[in-house]
Parts: sequence; structure tokens; C-alpha cells
Amino acid sequence: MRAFIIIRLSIFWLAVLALTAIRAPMVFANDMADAAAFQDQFRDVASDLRCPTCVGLSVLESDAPFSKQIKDEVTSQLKAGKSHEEILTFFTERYGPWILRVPPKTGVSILAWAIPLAVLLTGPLAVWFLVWRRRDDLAGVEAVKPLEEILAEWNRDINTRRGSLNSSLPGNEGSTTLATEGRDQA
Amino acid sequence: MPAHLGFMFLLLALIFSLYGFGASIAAAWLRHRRLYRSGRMAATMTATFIVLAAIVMWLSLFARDYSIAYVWRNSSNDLPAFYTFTTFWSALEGSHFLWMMILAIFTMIALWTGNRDNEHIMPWVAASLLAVVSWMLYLAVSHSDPFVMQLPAPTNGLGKNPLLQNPYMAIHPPTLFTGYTALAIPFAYAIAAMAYGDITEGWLKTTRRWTLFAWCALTAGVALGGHWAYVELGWAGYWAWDPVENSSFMPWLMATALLHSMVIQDKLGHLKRSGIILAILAFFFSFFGTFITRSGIITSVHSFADGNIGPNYLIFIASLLVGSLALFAFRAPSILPPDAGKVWGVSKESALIVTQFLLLTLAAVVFIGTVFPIVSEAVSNQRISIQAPYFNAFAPWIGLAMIVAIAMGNLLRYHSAKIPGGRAVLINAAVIAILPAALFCWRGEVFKTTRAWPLGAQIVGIYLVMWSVVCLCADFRQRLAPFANVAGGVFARWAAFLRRNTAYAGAFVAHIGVLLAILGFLGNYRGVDREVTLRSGETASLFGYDFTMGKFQVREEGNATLYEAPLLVTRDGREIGTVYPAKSKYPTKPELMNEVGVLGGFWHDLYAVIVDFEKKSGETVTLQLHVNPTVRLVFMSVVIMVLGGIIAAFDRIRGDRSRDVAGGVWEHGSGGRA
Repeated sequence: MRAFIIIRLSIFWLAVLALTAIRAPMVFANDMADAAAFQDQFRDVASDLRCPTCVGLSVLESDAPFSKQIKDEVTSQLKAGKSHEEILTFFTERYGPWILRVPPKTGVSILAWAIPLAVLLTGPLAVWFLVWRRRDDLAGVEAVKPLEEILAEWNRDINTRRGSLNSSLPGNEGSTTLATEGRDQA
Repeated sequence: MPAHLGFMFLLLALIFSLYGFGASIAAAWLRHRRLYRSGRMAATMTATFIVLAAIVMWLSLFARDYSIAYVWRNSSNDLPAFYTFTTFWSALEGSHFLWMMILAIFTMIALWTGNRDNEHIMPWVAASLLAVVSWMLYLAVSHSDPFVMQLPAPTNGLGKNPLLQNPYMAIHPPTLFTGYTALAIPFAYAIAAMAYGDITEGWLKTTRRWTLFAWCALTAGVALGGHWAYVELGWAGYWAWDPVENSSFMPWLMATALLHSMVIQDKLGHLKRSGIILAILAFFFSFFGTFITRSGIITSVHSFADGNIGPNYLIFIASLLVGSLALFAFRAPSILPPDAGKVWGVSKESALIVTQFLLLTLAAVVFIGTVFPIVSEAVSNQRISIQAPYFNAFAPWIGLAMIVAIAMGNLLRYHSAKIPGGRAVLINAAVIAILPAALFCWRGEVFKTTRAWPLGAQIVGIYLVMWSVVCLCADFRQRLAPFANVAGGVFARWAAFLRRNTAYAGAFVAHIGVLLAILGFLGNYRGVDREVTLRSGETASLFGYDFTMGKFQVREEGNATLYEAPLLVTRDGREIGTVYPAKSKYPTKPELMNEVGVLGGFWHDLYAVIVDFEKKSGETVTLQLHVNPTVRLVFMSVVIMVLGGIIAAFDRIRGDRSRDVAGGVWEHGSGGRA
């Protein structure tokens, strides 16, 4: 019954999602004229080049004079039919790899890419070996008992001993149970 | 001469802090109680004198006493009172001063409040904190003296940087510095724990609370900085992965990892030593951020640096790191793990480890991206840039993993225990999440704002966030269930639940905040913009909104002259509101500044910047119009995160059991009041 409801619900919402999705291409078709396609291409290139005079911004986001020059250059090269890669190469040759917003994947700079990748890929392995594998180390050890059980055992043990002690000491039968309440359980 | 007076106060503070440092070390060594208490009094005097010096500075600012060079360089006669007040921290010496003052005040508070739970380690805590305070004071009287004289006094100042004449600049630096400096206290406790050789519950209680406090302040501080950039710089974003933004983000990541490590330490007693390392690193990175700002080693909007304070900072942070890690190498073996072996397995503690891994990996990426250009230039003499696209190559993947980790981790339990029907919860959540995700996509017009391939990423991201939120809510329901039988109605039930689960409730709220923030960050990849040139009365449309330019006007506001182009915004003929983008001119500065016009809504911000205008008549104005999705959601979620942190800090149950450990540590000088 429960599963049935879930299936029905999921069909309903998938339908909602699909209907919403159908609208999308229509919007695309309206808005995406050729000019828009060119604009997208321009944005892709301009957002890969840094604004030489600002901090942290691409030429796309900047209106500094230097950025405007670069943007004009990008526009004219795109109109001349140059590809994204060719334009980036052009600017790299002129200003050095500094003009790109990401470090090149050659020379020392490759470390900037390799180290995070290595950490991301080997990290889970390290966590696996350090953390999950501990289970194997303890494979021979018996399972951890619940605290109540341990305390009860302990209590029994002590009481037996005390019982034998008490029986040898007359007049002490009253208090034979060791209280476990209020013990620090942490 | 106020300058002499202020300088003398700082000098006195330095002497007191040095005495306090020495007395604390001696007190720890000799276990001499009265000696420690004299050290604590010295710390109090240090804070008092720094505050007195600060009052002198503020009075000089308001008196427009240009015989003090700092006042002369950073303010002018036309400055309104509010910005005169904030000029205190608007340049190098002043922000160093503020850092130092907040640190000294926190040192004092930590020493007066930590005693009950941690008396056995307080001398070490005092010594560590006062060492840092003394160093800051040494810099303040040598390389970063705010009271340098300028004689004869000019009649007007050079004026304040217009970028800093913004209300956010009034609270962003103090909040951020509060976060930075509050991290000094976990650091000091970490050093003290190593010196003492053990961690007690009282240690954990105090350290956790200070870390939470620092975390809240850092979260708010970073967000306020982002908001300042958003409304002041005019490039329509709040986060550029700028080196200084990054260096405020790194301590945040470390503090977050530290909080997660403390949860394991609290529940299971494990990860004591990694907690210590994280506390050291968190404080190291908050200093590293300060170093980057002060030294100007990395070019950034924030670096107002000159002089030789940079090398001094470098020496200090290097010795801070080397010293702490050396202490760790020698002393960490004395901090023993609990007796019980640990079966990690598929459990909450493992999920918390994974969370820490993700946070630290992100910190590593941010660190590499921030310092690598310097390394590259030093090693291979090649200048490179590392900007947003580099970080965007890694951060979304880590964010994705975090969404999943938050959902799974909250559903798991300690000691590999199973929650009832865990798998069903995951699957049901996967179904239920479709509805809010579809709703969000529809109302947020997600399909309209993206190009083909990022659209898939958007949908996956939105759906996963919703799934995670549903998982969290399911977990909340399960935790609430045992309280169904509490007598006294709904109110009593919730009160009982919150009393027993304060920390959990805080974490729940904070995690919801993080998820909503990620939902908001996704909006960064959907924005649209357009550059238009308009005359009065003309209309431009973008994303279904029509922007009609009204009459161009010139008006005075405070000390600034605004050149303003009001834009009436309508959608389908319905009026939404008016945005007021402007350029402003301040009396002491030649250039025109951007005054961004923002019309905020839950789904989109309409954001307008004047690029240029016809200077003679003001008839034509060139504008950059942006539609920025879900920016408000990001700032709302930050409020939720901070709220969660505050709730968690009210957890009062833990950590009182070690008070008997704390007593009975003194050998000498135990007479007098406690």
C-alpha cells in the first residue's frame, strides 16, 4: 500500500517535472537567435581572460580601459572566425600565461592541478584504510557489549565477592548490593 | 598631546602583557596560584589600556586632529560622524589596532570565565594568549604605530577611501576580526592541553563554546564582506575568490572541521589529537589571512600594505606554526586515546570523518589557489593567475559531496547503530524531494536562465539539496518521536525536546542553512546581464523585466554628490519598483565611484550599474543591467547558519563533571579568595 502511494506520487511529480521541462526548449528557441549564440561564444572567451588591472575579475566582468581593449580584440577575432583556443593562445603569446585565469597545465603549474586532484582521489582511500579498515584489526576481538550488561556483570562479580566476604563477617547482611545508579556513564 | 597619551597607553599595555606572559609561565611551572592571578590581572590591565588608547584614537578622529598621521591620511573635514567612527579600522594601523583590541578583550573574558572548568590549565591558556597579545602590541608600538605624529598639523585630511564609505564596512571588519580573534582561545586551550598532557570534559565544553562563537562571527563576517562587495564594487557578484576572501574562508573551513571533530570527541572520546591540530591550524589561518592583508604579498583590493610589517608577520606566523607543531610532536603522545577500541564502520563517526576530509580538502584547494602564484613566481619565475575558474573546477564537486554527506551523516547513528527504516527514509526522501525541486525550478525560472549543459547541473544540484533537506527533516521527526508522550501539551513537548537536544537542534538549523546556501550559490551560474544605453523615457528589457529610465538627477547625500539614473521596473505591465543606480563623487577624491542600484527579491535581484553617462547634459546613460538569481537566499541562509550556531552554544548539559579535576592543582599561593 505504502509502496503504491510512493509510486503514484513519483509518477505525478515526474510528470510535473517533465511538463516544466517541456517549456524550456520553447524559451530557448525564442531567445537564441544567432546574435545570442555569438554573445555566448564571446562570454566564454572573455570569462577565461583576466582583467589585467583588477583583482579577481575577468575582462567580461570589468569595464576598465585595458579590459575593454581586450574585449574588442576578442570580438574582432571571433568575427574573423578564430576559435576559442586560438584566441586564448594569441593572448597567452602576447601577455604570458598570466593573462589566463587558470594556471597552465605545464611546468611547475601542473602541481596546482595535480595536488587537489591527488588529494580528492587518494583521500577517500586514506579514509578507507585509516577508518574502515580498523574493523579488521578488531575482527578477532569479541563484539562490544552494551554498557548495562558490563555493569550488571561487574555488579554480580563484586556482589559475589562481597557476599563471600560478608558471610565471613557477622552482622553485615543489610547492604550487599553495590549501587550502580548515578555512576558516571561516560 | 593625545598622540603621546595614546602611545603611552599602548606601551603600558605592552608592559602589562609581557608581565602577564611571564607570570603565567612561572605560575604554571611553580603551580603558584597567586602568581597566576596576578597574570590574569595583568591581562585585564592590558585590555583596559588598549581600550583607553582606542578611546584616544576615536576622540582624535572626532576632533579632526590631523597632527596624528593616521587621522590625516584617512579622514577629512567633510566626513559624516558615522564614517568618522569607522575610520578607526579603515587602514593598516587601525585595523591592526582593532584586531589587537578585540583579542585583548577576549583574552580577558576567557581568563575570567574559564576558571571554573579549567583551573588546572589556565596559566598555560593565559601564557599562550598573552604571548599573541604581546606580539601584536610590539608591532603596534614599532612597525604599525597608529599614533605617528604629523607636524605641523594640516588643516584638512586626505579623505577616506570612498569604497569604505558603506554601512557594511562599519560591521564587516569588527565581525570578521571577532571571529579571527575568538579562534585564539581554542588555540590557547590546545596549547594548554598539550602542556598539561590531557583533555578534560571542561576543556571540551569551553573550547567548543568559543569555537562556536568564532564560527558564528566568521560566518557572519565573511557574508557581510560578500554583501559589501555586492553592493559596492558593482560587478554583480559577492564572491570572486579573491586572495583575501579566500584567507577569510580558510579559517572558517578549519573552524567547521574543528566543530565536527569535537562532536566525535564529545560522544566517543576519540580524535583528541586531531582536534588539537585543527585548533592550531584554525588560528594559524586566521593569522595567515591577516598576514596576507598586511603584507601586500598578494595583490588584492584589500591590501593597504606598505612598510616592513610584512616580514614581521611572516616571522611570527612561521614561528607560531613551527612552535605549535613542535610542541605537538613532543607532547601529543601524552594525550591518550580512550581505552575502548574503535569500530568505525558505517556510522555517524565515520560520516563525520568524511565531512572533515571534505572541509579540509576544500581548504587545501583554496590554500593552493591562493599561494600558488607566489610559489610559481619564486620557483620558476613564471607569473600566473589563479582566479574563479580554477576554484570553480573543484568547489562544486566538493559541495556536491557535502550535500550527500550532510544527508547520510545525519541519518546514521553512533556505534554503527541503525535508525529504524533508514533505507526507506532515503528512498522516500528521493521521491518527496521531486516536488520542492520542481517547484523551485518553476518559480525560480531555472530553465529560462541557463544554457543547455549547466541546466543539467542546476537540476541535479537543486534536486540533491532538496533530497538532503528532506532527509534532515525525516531525521528530525525521528528524534522528536520519543517525546510524543511528554505530558503538558505541544509546548511542553517541544521544550523537553529542545532541552535534551539543544546541540542537535542547533546543528539541524545550521545544516539547513548550509544546504540553502548551496541552493543559493547555484544561482551564480544562472545570471543574465545586458549593457544598454538609454535616454530619459526609453525602455530596455531583460529577462521579462522592462527598465524605463526616469529623469537623470544630481543630488547630495551626506558628503557625496550622486549622479543618479532612476529606472522604473515593470513586468508584464505590472510595476515592480524603482532601482537607483548612480555614480558618486566625494569631495576629497577625484574619481567617480559606483553606487549600485539593487531591487531585491527572493528569486532574483535586479542589479543596475552606471557604466558611463553624458557628463554635460546627463541625457544618455550607459547601464549594465543584471538579473542575479537567489542572491537573497544566500544571505538569508547565512542568517540561518548563524542562528543554528547560536542555538548550539546554549547547550548547557555537557562538561560539568570535570570540575573536581580542575581543583587541587596548586602547590603555592592558594590563600585568599577563590
